[in-house]
Amino acid sequence: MLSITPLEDLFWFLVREYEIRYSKLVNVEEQTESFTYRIPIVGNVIIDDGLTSLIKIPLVQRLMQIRQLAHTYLFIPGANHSRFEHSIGVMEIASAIAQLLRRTYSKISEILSEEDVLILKASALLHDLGHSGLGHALDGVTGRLVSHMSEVYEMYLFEPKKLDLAITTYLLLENEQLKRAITEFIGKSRIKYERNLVQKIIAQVVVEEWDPIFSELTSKELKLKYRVMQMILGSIKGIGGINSDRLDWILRDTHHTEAHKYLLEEQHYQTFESKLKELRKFIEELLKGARTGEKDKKIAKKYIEINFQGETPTLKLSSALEEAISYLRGVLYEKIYESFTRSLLDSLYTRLVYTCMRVLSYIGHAVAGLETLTRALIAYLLEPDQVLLDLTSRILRYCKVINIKALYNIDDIMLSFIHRGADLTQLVENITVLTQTILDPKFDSLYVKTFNFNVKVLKRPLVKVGNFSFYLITLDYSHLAEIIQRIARTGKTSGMETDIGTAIRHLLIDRALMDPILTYHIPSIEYTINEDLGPELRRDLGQVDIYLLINYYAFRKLDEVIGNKTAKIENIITILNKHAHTPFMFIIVRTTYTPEVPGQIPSKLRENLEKCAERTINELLTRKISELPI
Amino acid sequence: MVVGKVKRKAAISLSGEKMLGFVAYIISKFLIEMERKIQEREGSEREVTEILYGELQRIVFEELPREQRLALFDSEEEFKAALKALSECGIIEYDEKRNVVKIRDRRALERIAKLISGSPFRHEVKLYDEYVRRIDRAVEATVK
Repeated sequence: MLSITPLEDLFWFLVREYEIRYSKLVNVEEQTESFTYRIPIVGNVIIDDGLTSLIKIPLVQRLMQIRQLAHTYLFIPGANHSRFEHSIGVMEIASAIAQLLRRTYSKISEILSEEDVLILKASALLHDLGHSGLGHALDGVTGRLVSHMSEVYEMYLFEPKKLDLAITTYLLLENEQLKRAITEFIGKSRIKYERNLVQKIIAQVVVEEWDPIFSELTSKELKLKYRVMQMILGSIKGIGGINSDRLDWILRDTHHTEAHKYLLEEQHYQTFESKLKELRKFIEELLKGARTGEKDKKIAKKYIEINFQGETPTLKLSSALEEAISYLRGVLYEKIYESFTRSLLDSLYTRLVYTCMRVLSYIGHAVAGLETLTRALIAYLLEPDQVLLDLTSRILRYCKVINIKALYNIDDIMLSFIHRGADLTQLVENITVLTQTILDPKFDSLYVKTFNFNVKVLKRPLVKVGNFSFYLITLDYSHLAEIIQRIARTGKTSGMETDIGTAIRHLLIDRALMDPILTYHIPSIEYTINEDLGPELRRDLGQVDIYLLINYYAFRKLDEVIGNKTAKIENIITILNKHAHTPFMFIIVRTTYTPEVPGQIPSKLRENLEKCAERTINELLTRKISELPI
Repeated sequence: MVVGKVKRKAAISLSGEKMLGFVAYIISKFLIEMERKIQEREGSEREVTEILYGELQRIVFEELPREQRLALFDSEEEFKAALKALSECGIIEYDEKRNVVKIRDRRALERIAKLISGSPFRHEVKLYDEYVRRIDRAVEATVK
């Protein structure tokens, strides 16, 4: 293939990468009877069954290079554990629970055979297979990839919040490397089912859908099997489950970060420690019981509630454990996964990778077909964390020096979006400094609230690179509440009474779960604002550029916390205000202006930053109101 | 313990109706298809004001996931919570005892359907369009 730009070289590199790493069949026979891994929380894990056939393939091995907590290691350097470590941990816990239940309850051993436990272990091992580099930090771009994939393949799709499962299911059902590995696994484990059925059981278990999504799984026997497996591996909304996945990540993330030791005040620290102790004790007793076969009944009765009434037995953890988990989970979400630092960095990486995917799409449409383009995009996102970031920076920087507008027929709005994405790579190059600015104990006190919109502006630059200073403005749920109130007023005066809550939720939340950047019109609003910067502002502040970053997790969180009150606007507003500090959009302003007093924000700059925020909100409002069906 | 029970109950109802817009769209599309079918069979323009829950269940838990490969809800409990939320806003009334869904505000349903089917977002985000097309196909196949 002849490439006319380095961008096209990179595109073809990615196409080949997918073929070489993830499509080729693995013909290596293990020379040992077992694989051994030594893993915190679960200890020595010896795998001496057919599962080695799955573990050895590159598609699974890549999980070793995906950090479980993405870039959290930048501010908690211990958070370096991988998705592979987590997957093995989940496999061990799920297997121990299954064996415990089989030995304690004859009804469970009638439902789950020894072979089924192996299928459950395979499901646990493969449950995170579809995670891209940087894991959950890039959840915001998953919709874009699934969008491309579903144009080419007849993919299984789920509710928008579970889009990553669409990729996992696709790999489970279609990837040739994995198909061959599953065949080998079945042969070695002497499983009676055919590969096709095993693939579907695994997929059904991983996606946590209670009703069968495959017609092959509609028999009573198979439904019972996969549902019990689902309740061991995860949990089903409205039904329950033990959720080995969650048990592992709570303990593992806490083990590697020990975040509670420095993020919590004394009183909360004690509570956290005692709840953590309860959970650890359960896992220790469970794993010890699984290895020795002792005290099974006692452990099962103490920690697991099982209900045999109804079509399928239902499983859940004891109330005490559930309560402990709920507390620990809440703290980890607040202090780590949804912390301000994570939110800002996730939003930045999401913007860059999303932009890069747009560039690859333009190239793919110009030089290859849809199928080849999709393969390039899958390969790109499957790259390990650091490779993915390096590729992203290279591609975006090339876009600044190559005339992509002419080559790929890109409109001005998207061109501006891509070029600004390239500017933002300056932040990635200085990510350590940026992160430490946020972690400064005085960070919160550096925020200034402006007059009109109560917008929070950082008094000093996030980072300075050469002549440029990058300032930060944060729009949070209170601003989203304001936007929703204004949209609702317009809707109601136009006769939308009963449906306004549903419409707003669909427009502002559900769609954002598929594509947050287009739902919030980021390319066009950013373009408009930058185009409208008057000569006065430039005279005052020198060169000025504005960048909008959307926080995908703000919408996932909204989806969770709004619950069944969505119908009523008043309730949505109340909930938003209750979590008012959650950022949903970041505005980055890059300027060559240097304040006379470092660390101070002169009123001239502050006023102009406020105008940027005001303009962003107004633009968003105008566009959203125009989408209302009135 | 009462507290524990209350907590569990809350956990079950939580996140019950996140797909409200799509549920409203499914109902609206179903009404249109049913009325079209009646028109073809009977030649009358009778308005459908009630839907059997079982028909919606067939669309959401059989036709959509198994034939159209789109699973919108983890469980029936979750789907029922969505119907209850639409009932709370007065768009429909979900009668659990009779297992029927009565239409309360047809205009509101149509407006939400328009918001979904006629939106430029469908062209911008092909995935969104894919969701809508699969729902359309599932409803059409069920009514057929």
